[in-house]
Amino acid sequence: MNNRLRVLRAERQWSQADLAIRLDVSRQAVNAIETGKHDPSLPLAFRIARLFDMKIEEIFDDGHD
Amino acid sequence: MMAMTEEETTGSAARNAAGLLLSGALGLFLLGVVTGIATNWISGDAVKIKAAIVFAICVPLGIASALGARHFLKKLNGGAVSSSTRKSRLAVQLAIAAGVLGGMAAGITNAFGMEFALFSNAPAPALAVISLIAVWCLLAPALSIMWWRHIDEHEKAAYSSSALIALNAYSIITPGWWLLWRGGMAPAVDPMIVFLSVITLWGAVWMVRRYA
Repeated sequence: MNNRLRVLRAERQWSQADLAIRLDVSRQAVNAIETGKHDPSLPLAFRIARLFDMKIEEIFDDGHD
Repeated sequence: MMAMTEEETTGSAARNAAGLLLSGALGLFLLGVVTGIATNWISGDAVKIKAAIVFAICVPLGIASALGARHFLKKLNGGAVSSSTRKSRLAVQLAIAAGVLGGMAAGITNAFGMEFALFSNAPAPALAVISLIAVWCLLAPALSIMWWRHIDEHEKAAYSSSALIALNAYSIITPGWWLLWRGGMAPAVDPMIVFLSVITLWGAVWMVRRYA
């Protein structure tokens, strides 16, 4: 699944560790989500969306319109 | 703090994971050497000058390896961490410390005439067996629960998928070996060899899934 997490994080000048602390996950989890190796669960996707004040579908894209 | 690029993150993670594996393996090897020589010392056997020199070299090298492993682990984990990550890491560190201390204790008990080798099928003294069962059946589950409660979903996924691979390996190794034994082509199945192989595979796959 594609996502804009890296871009959104970079816009705020956060490191992966900064974002990990805000989401209460490990830095490896943030890296895995950004690189598409791990698709977040719905609860985590909601936490990410809330953190960036966006809708889930504005951050994550499953490739279908 | 600005984020690293994807290539930088992946590359440095791979380098740090390799560094952690190498320094950890070296540290464990040196710990084994130190334990062996210390065992001889305690048991009163004559320690040759060569062994004393090896001991003197291995102790600082072992400490350096442990510090190296800590350094790579810190870099791998990337500075500040969330509170749940801190707690899960504490559980892993306690488990490693218990394992190292247990291994050293098993080595050194030889010095007191207990004739106890942890990874062998030889009969063992009841006291040592009861102590190990207590540690394995109480401490290990307690640490596992503590760790599991504080890991994030990415680590849970890494752990679960590596567990599935390990289970598949177990279901291939054990019957395969057993059939070879029945056909007279191999010695009887050694449960500890199977156990250690499966656990090693589990840990290796978990590490790749989590850090690579």
